[in-house]
Amino acid sequence: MSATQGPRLAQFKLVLLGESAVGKSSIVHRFVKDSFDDFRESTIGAAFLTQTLKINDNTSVKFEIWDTAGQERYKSLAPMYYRNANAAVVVYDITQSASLERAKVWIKELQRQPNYQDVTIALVGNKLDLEEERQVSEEDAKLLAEQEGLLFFEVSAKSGDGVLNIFQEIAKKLPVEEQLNKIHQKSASKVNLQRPSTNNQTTCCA
Amino acid sequence: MGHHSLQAKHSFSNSSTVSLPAERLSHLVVPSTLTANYNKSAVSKGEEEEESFHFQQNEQSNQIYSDNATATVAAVTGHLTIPKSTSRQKSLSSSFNLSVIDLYGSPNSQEQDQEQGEEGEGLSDDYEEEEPQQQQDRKPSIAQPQQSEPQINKSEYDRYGFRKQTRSVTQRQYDTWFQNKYQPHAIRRKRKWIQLFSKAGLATPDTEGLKQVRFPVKSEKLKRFVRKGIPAEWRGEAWWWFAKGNDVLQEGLYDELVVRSGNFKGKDLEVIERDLNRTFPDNLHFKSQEQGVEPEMIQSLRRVLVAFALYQPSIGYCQSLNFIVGLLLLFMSEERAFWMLVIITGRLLPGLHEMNLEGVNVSQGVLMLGLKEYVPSMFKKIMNISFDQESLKDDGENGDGYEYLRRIPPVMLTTSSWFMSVFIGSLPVETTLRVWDCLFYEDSVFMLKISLSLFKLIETQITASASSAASEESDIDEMEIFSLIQNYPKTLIDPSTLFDVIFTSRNQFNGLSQDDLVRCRQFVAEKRQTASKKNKNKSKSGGTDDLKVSRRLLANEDLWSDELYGFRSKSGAGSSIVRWNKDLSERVKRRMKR
Repeated sequence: MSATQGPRLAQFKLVLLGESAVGKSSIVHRFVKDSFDDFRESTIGAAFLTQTLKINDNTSVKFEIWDTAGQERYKSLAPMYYRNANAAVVVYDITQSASLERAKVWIKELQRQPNYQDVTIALVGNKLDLEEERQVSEEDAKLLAEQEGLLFFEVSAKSGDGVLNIFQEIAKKLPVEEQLNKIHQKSASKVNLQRPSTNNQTTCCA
Repeated sequence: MGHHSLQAKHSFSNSSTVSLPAERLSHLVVPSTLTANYNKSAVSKGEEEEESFHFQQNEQSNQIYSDNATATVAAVTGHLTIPKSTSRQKSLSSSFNLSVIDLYGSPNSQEQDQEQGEEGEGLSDDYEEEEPQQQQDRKPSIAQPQQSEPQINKSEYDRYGFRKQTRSVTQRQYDTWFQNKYQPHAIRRKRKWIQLFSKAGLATPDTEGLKQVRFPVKSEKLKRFVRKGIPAEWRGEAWWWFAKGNDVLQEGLYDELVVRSGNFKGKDLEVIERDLNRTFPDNLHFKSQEQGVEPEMIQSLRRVLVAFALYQPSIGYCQSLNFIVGLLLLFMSEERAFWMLVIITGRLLPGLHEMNLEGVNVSQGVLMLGLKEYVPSMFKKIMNISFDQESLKDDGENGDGYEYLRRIPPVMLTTSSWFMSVFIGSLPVETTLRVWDCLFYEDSVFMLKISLSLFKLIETQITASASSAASEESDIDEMEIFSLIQNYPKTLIDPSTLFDVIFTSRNQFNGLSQDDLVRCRQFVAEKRQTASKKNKNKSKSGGTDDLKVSRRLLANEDLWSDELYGFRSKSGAGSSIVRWNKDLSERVKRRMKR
């Protein structure tokens, strides 16, 4: 049946979390624009970008990406971007062990969300190009990810190494068919592609 | 002149300011002949018309312009150079094409400058102002293309050192707009300002030897002047004056804090360090020119931010303050930038940078109320995409229809940065500066007015795209709305696009007063307070901090509101020199020598 349907597009919301200056915005810009700046302006509030990824011949996933400010106090705005998120990328800097601690806090925070089970979470160590300054061993971080049931990647936004892979792997975990079926059902009455909301409406924001 | 004597009432009999004769002022006046050298039609219209002229609509004249690019640029810019100091110019251009100061000509270049009349009769910058008669018989002088051009028109960087090209604006767009429209506007406005000072019996801020800078008494006319832009090199003084910097200044304290900050440790310090090189990385003054040499601007930025964290522990350091201080430092001394930051974070944007950012939620709640009242279609759209009706109904226990004040819609994450960094990065630089001009003059209600104006413009964009798609009102994709709100303001290179909305009296929100804003803030803070009280009773975590800050917000308002505009100032506190020009040009000079 898919052959007759033409291209199908599923849409998911993804948030980036992590300590300031670990490279959240750089990862997004590598993914969305395939570009990199050594100095990127600090993100204030949140920035919003989209990127579409083809996952097979006739199916694509469109990521709505919320890139957030890293400073701790911005956490109080977090409920706004958690809301209805389908995926979260928690970033740390492999040259700053403190940033992994901060990542752990973010993971805990996510786990406190009622819809936690529905959210695909990836732990990402950035700045792989600074291998000689590494403070966080790959094994430690990997172990953490396994314990918490998260995807795990080490990447370099600067060189581009591994960045695309994060999003490809996340896309594999997302309930693409489920969402497309829902849209299909809906479209019977109205042609309207809507972002799926999480099942539990009371989940969002405390 | 009857007008003159009226003004005299407001001048200060015992002040050290002297009214300077016109010829003393003349060296500051920039000839307007450049308009004669290119597309006259664009300029010879009255400003009302001209202000709503957009560079996009001027493709034809752009064409003319670019065809004669070389000659025209030279002609346009002939008067704007610093003729005397060609050697310095050379060094400027040889280095990084920086030209922050030669928009009008050097104060020393008297032989070059002569006061020019308005070309054409209809050019009235201030809709109802009368033009001084004596100017009308002056003939425009001929531009002198042999003068070297100011680098500003060839440079990749604007007059403040920012890269002209951004992710939303090309350099060509910038140059076209700036040279055709904004440069003439700025020159015209400066002339008007000089006249205004003269009429008020005041010396202009850059008058040599001036002990105490004063601006004219607040009036509807002055407000219009400010709304049309304060001359860039007076901005530092004007912001300080209108924000009543001298009222908060505690002399010597800043230096003391800098000394004390040597021992300051803490999380904020790390965050500050990480942000220093991420503050205007595209601006020349913030960029390292030599490997391993930290720019002076970065050092100043560090000192101010750390001193402030020390001074105001309830805020410490909040990301976004780096941009605010960075912009201030382009226009004033470190000490003044520090006190301006105190004013901005305490009086103008109370609570916005506090530890839990509750002020952000309040500001966004106020914006939602404003939208509901004045841009209802946008309010509806935001509500539609943010909440489904069931979840709104179900918030039952408060059940007052104000759930959107407690659960701020996610799209407000974008608009929260408008407030937190006072539009830096959200609007192009020149437009941001115009907003700042008015913010310090008109107080924080102007933030709301600008935000509502932006939504008015965004609404137009949405209507345009919706009608072409012939779709239902509610059908616009959430993502499109997010993108528009985030990206559209960044394209507003011409401030008049935005300011025309503010000037339009049919937009009722232009009548909003500071008192209205204060009431609104209280309302939102109270709504949020009741919610967090309830939450506090329900759960162990959260709530208390919100409560504290909301209370402080209310208290803060009492503290600051309803102050009358005053002229209190400490003698000697004012700078006699245009800080913006001087500091930067000194820095550039020093850098050149290396």
